[in-house]
Amino acid sequence: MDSSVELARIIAGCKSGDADCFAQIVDLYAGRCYGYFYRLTGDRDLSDELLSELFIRLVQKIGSYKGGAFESWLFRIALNIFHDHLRGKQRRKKLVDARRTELELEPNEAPRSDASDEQLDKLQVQLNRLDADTRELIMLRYHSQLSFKKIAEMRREPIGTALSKLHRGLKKLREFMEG
Amino acid sequence: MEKQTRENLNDLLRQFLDSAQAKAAGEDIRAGERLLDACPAPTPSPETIVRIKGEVAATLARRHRITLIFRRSLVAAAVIAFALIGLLDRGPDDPTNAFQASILPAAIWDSEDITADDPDLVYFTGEVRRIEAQLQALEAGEGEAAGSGTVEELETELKQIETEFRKG
Repeated sequence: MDSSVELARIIAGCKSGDADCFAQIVDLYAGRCYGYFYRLTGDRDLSDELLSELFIRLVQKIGSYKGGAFESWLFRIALNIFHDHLRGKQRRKKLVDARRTELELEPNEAPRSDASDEQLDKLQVQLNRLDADTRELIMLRYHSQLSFKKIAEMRREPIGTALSKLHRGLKKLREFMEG
Repeated sequence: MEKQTRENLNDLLRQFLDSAQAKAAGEDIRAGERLLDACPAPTPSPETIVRIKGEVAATLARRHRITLIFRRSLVAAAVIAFALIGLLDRGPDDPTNAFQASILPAAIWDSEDITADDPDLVYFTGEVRRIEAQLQALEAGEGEAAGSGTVEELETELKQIETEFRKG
């Protein structure tokens, strides 16, 4: 069966309140959405929390989904959840403290034997050297797999601006990683 | 990660940059994305997935209960509203339902001699006449012989009869 037809069937099931269909949506999108939250926060527990919030909000808002690209709709909710998180003063303070602690502790951590883990952490550290807006754009593009047109619409900015920011951001990230 | 939107990247870049710049920018973007592919983000633990599915199911059950309560409340409110409307808005009075009653029986109303046709009036008239006769007998000195009561007793009796007569 065509994946888009299958997705439409699952979404219709979600709209009628079928828990199994919601479970299938979780299976389909949890990995990508978790990766998106993790790359933005660098915190696994917080990413768990945001991911949970995302799917609870999905249950609450599925009635307002009127068709179109489901990924676009889902990642718009994810983006809003992340912005809500940033707006929460307590949570922001916790996040900043956690990041600061993590960055301060990192050079003193025991040497890692797994090279890929080391590289993974390095990417997270270098991502945090980018400005928040560029980091968010890169992660949105990478994890949502949406077109630039959709991303520009979501971010309410011209497509050329989004394209330019992404180009500069990725170039800079590569330089950080190689440097 | 498989990209669904890469195909249009060169075309898109050429809308904003000249051919050489677009080619270079495209290379930069692809190189950056390859870097991200090489460093995949961690995935949620199976426990997290199970917990989230449980939370979703609980949220659905809660919403279902709330919807059920809301619908029942709505039905109950509608029933009460209809009942109130039925009680308060009964429409214009139906003249066929009007109940009419006379305070006098038709026979008496149509009578040409009420004192003869009304049994109550006949009784009271008879009583008054009897007492009048007794009074006259007493005044004529036949009191002791005619009855056992005094003049005062007779007057009291007369007043009682008048009162009963007026009460109807």
